[in-house]
Amino acid sequence: MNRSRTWRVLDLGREATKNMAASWLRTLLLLAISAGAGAYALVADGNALRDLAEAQQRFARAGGYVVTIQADQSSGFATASVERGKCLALGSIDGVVSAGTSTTTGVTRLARAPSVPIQSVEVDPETLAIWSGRYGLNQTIASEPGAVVALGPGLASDFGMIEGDEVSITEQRFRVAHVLQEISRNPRAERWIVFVGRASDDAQQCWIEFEPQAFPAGESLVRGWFASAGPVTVTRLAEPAVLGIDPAKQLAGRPEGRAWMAAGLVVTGSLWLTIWFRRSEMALYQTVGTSKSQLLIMYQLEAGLVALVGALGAATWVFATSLAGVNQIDSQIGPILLWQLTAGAATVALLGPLPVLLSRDRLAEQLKDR
Amino acid sequence: MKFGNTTVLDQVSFALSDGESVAVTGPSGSGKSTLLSIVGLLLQPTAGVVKFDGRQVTPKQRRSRILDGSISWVFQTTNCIGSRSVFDNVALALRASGVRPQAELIESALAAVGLRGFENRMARTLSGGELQRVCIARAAVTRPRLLFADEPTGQLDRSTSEAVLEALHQARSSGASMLIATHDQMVVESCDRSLGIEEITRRL
Repeated sequence: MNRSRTWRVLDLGREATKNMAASWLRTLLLLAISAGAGAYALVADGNALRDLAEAQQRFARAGGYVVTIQADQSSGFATASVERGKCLALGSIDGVVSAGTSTTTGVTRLARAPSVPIQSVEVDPETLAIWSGRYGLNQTIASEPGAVVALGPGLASDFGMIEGDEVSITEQRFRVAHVLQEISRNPRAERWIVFVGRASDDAQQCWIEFEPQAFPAGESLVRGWFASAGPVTVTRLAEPAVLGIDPAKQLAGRPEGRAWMAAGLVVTGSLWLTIWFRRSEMALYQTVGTSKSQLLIMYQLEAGLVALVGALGAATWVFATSLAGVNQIDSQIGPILLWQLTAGAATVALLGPLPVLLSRDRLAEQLKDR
Repeated sequence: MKFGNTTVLDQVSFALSDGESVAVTGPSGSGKSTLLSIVGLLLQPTAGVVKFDGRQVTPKQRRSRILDGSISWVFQTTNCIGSRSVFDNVALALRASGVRPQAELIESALAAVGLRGFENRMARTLSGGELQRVCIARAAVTRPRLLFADEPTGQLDRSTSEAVLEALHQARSSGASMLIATHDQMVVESCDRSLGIEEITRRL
């Protein structure tokens, strides 16, 4: 009899699929459990991630990813300022939404109310974009011709001024290019006169807004950016504790992030149960010369197929229900959900067939197991 | 052979010749199955050796002895994969041995046990006697030199036992030796000789 190599992996794969097809009801049940558990994990984490994305937006609107840089006053350096050019240069770096300076220039007076002292500040247009929390605002203001100012909403209201008005400040005429509508990130600007585009080269503060994902690294790197001019103080505009939200911590600590583990263990447990009822089958394979390691590979291929087809089923179901509007899974969190499915499927493929190793060596007795 | 403090077999010694069929008899619990398990490399004896062609063999060599066609088993319980066809169940032994399961080889093995035309039947649809004959075909299809059968008719009625017994002897028509544990006098009479457990012990 011509004997070649026993049970190659391909043969074991064929044997596994034949067993799966032969016991189609068991296979169908396992696939349903696999797809159901996978879909549950995806929907649970998808919803958690969507909620977190909304929390992140609220956090960003509140200035959670904004820092201010100012020269360390106690350093003894003569200038005690930050370089405007360096600050603006940050704006062109990936992960930075906007960067601009502000410098308080003292008290000024409007011609129409000479007895009222008003705080005046010089800023870059980019600074206003950060204060407002609205992208694109800097472009609007920067393109304004002539001498322009922006007014805090309280000041504009007090003196009945609107955009387009002309004001006389210390005998010079300015056009009100903008009335700041949203200054939640800098409430002190409520009654400020803001000279846009007149910031000096040595500024008091540099305002920087980061993209959420770039914030932790950016916050620690920005100190070195200004280090050549002397020590600086980096201050977060809003601490997570103050805002009551910390999206980064919530993302890392969300229990739904481990849903793949729960789904994987559910399917693994189901596989263990079915393997328990296949003890005599395992003994049978061994009595015809199959080794335990070959059995393990065969059952691993079965488990892998169950996990893979279940994962595909889960992904298809979630995708279809998202299209139908039943779920609202954001496509941007696809990679995280893909990780969930992959990790869950790998758990099933690795742990699912382990009982094979625990099967008894006394084959005659194991053959009687039902 | 000891299981804990219980000695089941003590100082047993016998030889099996090429092509010989030997029935092992004895009361329940006397150690017939244990003896078959030891000689068939399913169990490691606590003392003593098993020799094959004059060389000592151990359960560690069981797999290689199966794969080189030295040994094969038929058990009391009928072990088939119920959801697979008769053909697949017999082909299993060939596939495990790295032999391409040719249809004529399997048909011939099934014909030898009286199951010609059963190839495509699902194993779960067969009767106990038919299943046992499938197990015999599976054990014989690799043409082993030594066939072990542990009470193969233990769960069968008289007429089915006769069919199974005939199948067993047909299956070893290629010259295989057979060691068979049994209570069944019909099986004992069909073998070349029989060894009672007490008789074996007495020979020490």
